[in-house]
Amino acid sequence: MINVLQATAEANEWGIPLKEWMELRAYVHGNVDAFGDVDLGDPADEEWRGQVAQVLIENGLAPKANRYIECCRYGVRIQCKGPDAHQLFSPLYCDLRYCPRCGPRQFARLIEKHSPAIASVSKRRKRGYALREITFTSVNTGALSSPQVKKFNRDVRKTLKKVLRRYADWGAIWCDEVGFNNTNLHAHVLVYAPYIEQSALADAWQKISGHSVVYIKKAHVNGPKALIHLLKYVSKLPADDPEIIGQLEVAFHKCCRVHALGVFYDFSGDDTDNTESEWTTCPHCGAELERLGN
Amino acid sequence: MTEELGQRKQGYKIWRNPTGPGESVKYLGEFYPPAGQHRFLGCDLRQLGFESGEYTVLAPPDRPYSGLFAKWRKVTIRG
Repeated sequence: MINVLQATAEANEWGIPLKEWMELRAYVHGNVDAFGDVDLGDPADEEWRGQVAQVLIENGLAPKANRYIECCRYGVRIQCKGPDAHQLFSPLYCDLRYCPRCGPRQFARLIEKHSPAIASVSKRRKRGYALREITFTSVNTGALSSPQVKKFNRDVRKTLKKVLRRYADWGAIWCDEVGFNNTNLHAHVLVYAPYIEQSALADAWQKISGHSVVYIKKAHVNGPKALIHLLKYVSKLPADDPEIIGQLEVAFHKCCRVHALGVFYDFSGDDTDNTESEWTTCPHCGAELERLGN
Repeated sequence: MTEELGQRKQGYKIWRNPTGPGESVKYLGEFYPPAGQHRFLGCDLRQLGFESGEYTVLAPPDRPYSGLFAKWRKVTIRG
């Protein structure tokens, strides 16, 4: 039990309000078992996130830095407006691409978003069409910037449109990636299309982007697995160095990492692209939700 | 305390965390991080002459980037 007189005396002596005396007590001894010895802190994670945040601040992205450092440290209480007034709780996620906690959430969201497109073409396969995997690579310049990423994606789009311009009903999904702990930007593409000559593809890629290396092969696994294979790196951190993670977050600021084209684009129209990461309706009864005060 | 440009901002209050179940926190006083830094690191506390161990730092309300750097922070000086 807290000795209130002693607590008040200590708070006065230290020059802090009693509320902060309580915060100190909870912070030192843990938030749940406030008077025992449980410790919920994770200094290593806090330190690591702090270093990533520092890079974001230095590049003028202080709001993002704030989100990154505070990911899941706070939550909101939610209540539904239905007759049962369901009580819910949701942590506040940063939803940044290179957050070790939010990456797997993005992966799950993207799988849900793009699975119907893959399922559709797997069910009704057009004669001569198949799922194929293309890898477009670019020259590693040792640095990565937002204009560079945007140009790369424009070049991928132009190349696919050029080599497939004579065909109808083709679709493509691609994901931008970098090598582990480096800036080797490349894109893995899952394309539903007829046979494409490697030389024609390489020629178009060279003319449009100036880069020369591109590979194509038939997808070695079936539809859903091919999509998981394509998107798996969204769930994994591409570096163990917080400095590189910060630089990647800066380079991909306002740049989409996963793109859909052709018939696959039509399936992704309803997704909010993560602009709304909280529940919008009650998961129990579908009623509207409202936030409660803390 | 004053600085060249007027009143110096509030300092960071530091406590030494208990090392055993029977102990309580020990208030050490108010300190300032090195110039240009907005939080204390273990090496800063070591320079202030603190021994190895775990400390809790309370940042003042008028600290820069108050939304970014946590109000409470645990800092460890490794032995």
